[in-house]
Amino acid sequence: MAHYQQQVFNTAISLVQDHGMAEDIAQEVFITVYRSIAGFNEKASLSTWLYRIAVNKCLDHLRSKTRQKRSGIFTSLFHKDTGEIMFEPADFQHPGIQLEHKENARYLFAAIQVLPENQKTVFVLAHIEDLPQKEIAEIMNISVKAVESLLQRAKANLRKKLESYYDRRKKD
Amino acid sequence: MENNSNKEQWVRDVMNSTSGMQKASPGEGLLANVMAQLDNAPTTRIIRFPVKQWAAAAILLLALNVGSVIYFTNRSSNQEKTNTGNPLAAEMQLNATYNY
Repeated sequence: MAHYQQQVFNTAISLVQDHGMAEDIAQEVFITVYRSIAGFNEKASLSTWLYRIAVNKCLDHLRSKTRQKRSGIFTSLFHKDTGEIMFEPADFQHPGIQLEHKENARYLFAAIQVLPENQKTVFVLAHIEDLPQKEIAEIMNISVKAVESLLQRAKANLRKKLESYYDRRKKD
Repeated sequence: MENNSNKEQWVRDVMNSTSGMQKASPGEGLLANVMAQLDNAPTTRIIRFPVKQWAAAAILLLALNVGSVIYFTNRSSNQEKTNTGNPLAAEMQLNATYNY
């Protein structure tokens, strides 16, 4: 059980980048699992099923946060049209990052935050959860080829965002 | 040139900043909170549809309807007979009296 708690929480905190929200999502995931365990298809592994529920809940939370942001409650850290980092990245620190990488990881997570949904999900599952592409494809209900392509696009986008931030920081 | 190589190095370092990372764990109360929420969830009472009672009521209603249709059909045909039998009765608008 502890293993699954960690799996769900780590995915949630990496996707939503908020400790409190990740805890809430983890709770919701386990309540959903408890209520719908009868409908669990044993062909899929329990871990894949949990990842799928967790990812869907995270994306729902992020969508509702975006709606709030649009209505002006939150101020974006990124340029509305280009998605470029406008200010210093948000103060999110993933608790599992090694001390010497903490500063760099802040920039990485800030850039991950502005990736499109699918690219963000694939990147988190591949690079933070360390899942093989086949399992990511099962979780997201897409082909392995699609996972591969999304991952490439995610990395290219991250590099582009980081490079443009670096250039602007040099200018300032 | 040097600036470009610094930039590339920085981007590479940022992209690799997740290497060796540990998985984050939730607070210890997660499971307890889940159990508490499940315990406090309102229980839904399943009300079974009383099939037998409804079937019996439907049959009774049907029988009553059929019975009354038969009864009134007979009654009107008797009345017709009476009326045809005595043209004066019809003229006098007399209704047949039935001994209930």
